[in-house]
Amino acid sequence: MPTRRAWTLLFLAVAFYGLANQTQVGWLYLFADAFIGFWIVAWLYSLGMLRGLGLSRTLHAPDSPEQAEPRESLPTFHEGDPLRVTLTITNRGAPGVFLVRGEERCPAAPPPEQAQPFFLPLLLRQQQRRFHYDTTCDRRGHFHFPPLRLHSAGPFGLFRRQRPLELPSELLVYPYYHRLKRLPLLESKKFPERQAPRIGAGGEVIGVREYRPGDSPRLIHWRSTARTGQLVVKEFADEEQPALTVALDLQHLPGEVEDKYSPFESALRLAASLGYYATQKGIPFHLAGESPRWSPPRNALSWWGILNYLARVEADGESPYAQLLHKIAGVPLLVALVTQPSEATLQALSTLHRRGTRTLAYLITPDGSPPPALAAHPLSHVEIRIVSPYNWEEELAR
Amino acid sequence: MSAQAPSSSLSLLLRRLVLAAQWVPLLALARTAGIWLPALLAGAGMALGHWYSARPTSNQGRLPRLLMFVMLHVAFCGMCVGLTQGMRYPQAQFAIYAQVITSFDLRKRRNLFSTLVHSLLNLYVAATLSRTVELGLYLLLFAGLALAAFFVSEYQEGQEGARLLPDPPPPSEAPRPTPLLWLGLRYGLLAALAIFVAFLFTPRFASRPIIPPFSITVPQRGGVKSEIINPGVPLVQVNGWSDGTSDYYYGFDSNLDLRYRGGLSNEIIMYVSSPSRSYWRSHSYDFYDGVRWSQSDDTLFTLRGRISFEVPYDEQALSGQEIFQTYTIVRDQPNLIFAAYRPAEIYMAATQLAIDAGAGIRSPEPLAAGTTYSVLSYRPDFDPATLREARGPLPDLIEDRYLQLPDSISARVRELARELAEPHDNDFDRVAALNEHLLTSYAYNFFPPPHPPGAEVVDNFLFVDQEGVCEQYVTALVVMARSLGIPARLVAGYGSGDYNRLTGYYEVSANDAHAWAEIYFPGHGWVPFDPTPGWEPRPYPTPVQEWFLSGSTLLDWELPIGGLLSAGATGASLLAPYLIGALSLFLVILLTLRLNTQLRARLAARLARRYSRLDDGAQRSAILRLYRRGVALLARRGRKRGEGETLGEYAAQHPSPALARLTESAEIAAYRPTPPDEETLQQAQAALQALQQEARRKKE
Repeated sequence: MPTRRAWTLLFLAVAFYGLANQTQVGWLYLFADAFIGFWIVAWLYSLGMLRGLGLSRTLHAPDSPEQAEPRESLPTFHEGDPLRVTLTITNRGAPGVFLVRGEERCPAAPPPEQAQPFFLPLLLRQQQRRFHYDTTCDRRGHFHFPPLRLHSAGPFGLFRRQRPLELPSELLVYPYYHRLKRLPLLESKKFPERQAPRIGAGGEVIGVREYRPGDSPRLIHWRSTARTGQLVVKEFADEEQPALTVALDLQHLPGEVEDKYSPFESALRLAASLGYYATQKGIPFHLAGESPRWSPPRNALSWWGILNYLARVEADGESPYAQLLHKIAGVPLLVALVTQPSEATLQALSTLHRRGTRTLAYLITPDGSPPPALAAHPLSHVEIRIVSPYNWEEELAR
Repeated sequence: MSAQAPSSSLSLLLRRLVLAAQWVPLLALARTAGIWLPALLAGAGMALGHWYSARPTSNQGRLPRLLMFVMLHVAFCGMCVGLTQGMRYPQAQFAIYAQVITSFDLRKRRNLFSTLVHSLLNLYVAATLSRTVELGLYLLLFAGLALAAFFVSEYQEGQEGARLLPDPPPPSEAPRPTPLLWLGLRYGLLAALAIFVAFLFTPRFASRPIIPPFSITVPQRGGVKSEIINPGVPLVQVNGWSDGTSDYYYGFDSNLDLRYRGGLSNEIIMYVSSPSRSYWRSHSYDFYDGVRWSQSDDTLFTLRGRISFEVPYDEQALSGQEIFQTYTIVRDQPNLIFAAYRPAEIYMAATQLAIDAGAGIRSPEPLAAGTTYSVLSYRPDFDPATLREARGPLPDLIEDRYLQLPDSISARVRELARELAEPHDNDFDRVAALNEHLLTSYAYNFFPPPHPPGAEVVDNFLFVDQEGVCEQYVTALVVMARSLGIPARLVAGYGSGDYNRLTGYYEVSANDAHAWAEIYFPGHGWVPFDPTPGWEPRPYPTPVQEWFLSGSTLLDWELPIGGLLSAGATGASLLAPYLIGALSLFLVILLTLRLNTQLRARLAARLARRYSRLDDGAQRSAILRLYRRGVALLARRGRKRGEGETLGEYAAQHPSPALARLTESAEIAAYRPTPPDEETLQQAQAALQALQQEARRKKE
């Protein structure tokens, strides 16, 4: 594509040719021919200019060594983690590539840092040059790097050539989570529907009873047997029962702006923090949500499963959150992460206790103020916490 | 993050390259036009202009621009005065002074490239004045500097827009200067090849120019005299001898004395740009007395026209290929107009031109060095077969004047003519036979033996000396033709000279002065013949050179597009007045529309300012003035405010509490609809003082 400078040169060539014709000054023919000559050479040179360029990209933490491509698993980071991207451009074509400009876009970076225009003054054949930049993983997600756009106008800016360099690179960024050691709200006596632990096949001894035929001799509590003179066995807590279920609102609302500090993103961070707590405590952790693409798995999730799901999930469902809450049954402990606190949702929350579900609801509003629906519909039998995207961490630990 | 290099050093380099490129056409002009002092002054002025433009505080206000506007007009007036006062190349001087003035406004990269285009125009002026290949050196130098400036500009632009620059190469990768040199060499060679091929195949235009040539020099005034005035006549003349160093050709005179001997110097006396090789004819002689030629009729006919003069010919003569020539006189010449045969129009700064009875064109005064004039000729295409058929009664005037012979012509001369012509049944072949005999039988010698007193020149040349110079050959041909009853005359002028294919000029030297014959054929007019060995046997214009290799014996073909272009240009030249009128009208309309848009915008802005000032007082502008002073202060310390940088962005770039306070006040003054209060003004004043103290402290 000729640049404005090339058009100017062409115009000058025509003008000088006209002047040469008018004045018959031989030098002016040479002037015109010099412009034409440079024009032609610049055009010829521009033809294969960017053809032989190759690219590789590596993603790694600034303090860890680069891992050569291709790698077997996706590089993973957490929100807020520092990220170093290294680009290596190799010339396997033209004898020399001059003044190449390009734009790298890092989709995981904060918006002002996403565009990374670069400039390569000269790359001779078989040479390679590296660029690197450091940024931070701004928000969770599964990111694909767009093609790198290269362009150059050659050494003199006469013909501009462009070439997108495809280099599929992916990056998985897990949501930020709070390393929650205790969840006072769940563990506190104040919790209205907290029940005594059930007897089950757990590891915690919660009492003793008389031996019954069929009991394993390993369960005999010898000290009590010696004291009472009868066979007494240990009873264990049922650790399957206090599974923690987190209900996500995956309904897509038209017009909702994707934002790092949106209630939805905060809900995911809360979910990740609760997941961390549950996996640390050995409590089975379930996620609930309704979405055509991102319905969570039914079984209890491992820590890796939680992060992978929360990194990728998008609010693309159509069912209202209240509908999901109405469907929940047989769940002993539910944490409802309410991002759109409507009256219907609050009503649905208030009915959960009737189905034997202890409920802790986090109402996430943009500024942490109580939603208007709550004034109209006060909740009972539900522990409520109102948080904002900026203070959820403190509220969670409280 | 890869490091980003500062671009200020590149900016300086670009400016230096552009300045150097500006100097090249100055040098070329100084060399070609001899205007050393103006060129030196202009060179210094341009450097000063660049220094001023590069200053961070050279924010072009209204006053500097007004000054530049006035200076441009002063320079233009100087050129006009120079034209009337005989200043040396006033147009070229105006061009370079105009560039000096605009050099004070070269703040942006765009301006730098505009001035390169201006330099190109200066180089164009030098090219029109240059007659040697020396200009090629300047062209090469200019191209190199301009390309280097393009490269640096691209480099700078790339660096400015980039966040990332490549990491330093690993130490294992040794610097490779050779491939880079090789790349540059390859690029240069490829460009040279492309330019050469383009030059080779560029169609040359040979027709009448679309815009007729005009000269804005003082015209020659007065009436044309019948006497030929030759300024080259030496004060002390050794009768009949020239030692080969003289510029004086005795043929450019009212009489041509054939007893004269000797050669002329090799000095170039004029340059001719012409699309066709030809002899440059001046005048003819009709009367021969045995030892000298003269003009029997000194009547002059004034040519019609003013600046452009038409030569009266019959319609038949005004057909054929148009050949447009431009003559640049280097050494003073007689009051004769040289032209390729047959001239039809003369473009010259003179109040009057005249034609003599022998079809020689005269000017009022001798042609002084530096005189330029143009001639449009129609190339006659004399076909031997047609000339052989030429028969018919001779006009009385021709018969009376061009068959004259003195009684001293010997019988053996007449006998030789008769013998040579006898085998032929037509005048053309007879003359060709005489011509061929002279070409092949006699030796050319600048210094034949001295002419014996009382002898007739032709007899002495043909039978005694049997060697001589062109005048003797031509006189022999004319006399023998006349003896056969064929009208003939001796013509003087210059041979074509050496053609410089690069400059496109025929370089005509003093020793190209020449004489040849013209033979009259009924129905065809005068046909030139040259019997002198070593010269062109057909001394009238060759076919028009339509490309570089026109007329080459290797490639006997012409570029088809050349003729088309010439034909198109001829049409355009006829339509030129209408085209120029239409273009002017279009430009006037365009200018009116533009002015209308600009004036409306300015009027609106002025009204807006007036209304905003109603309640502002002077505080708003006072604060902004303080801010500008602050920015200028920082710019002097190397913290220049970038183009398009907002006040806030600039303040963020250079953290300083004083600048922050000043910026806050300026933003209030600039953007708040209500006028700033006294407190804001005081805050701005205090902030500026703090900024100045800060700067002083840093300096210490």
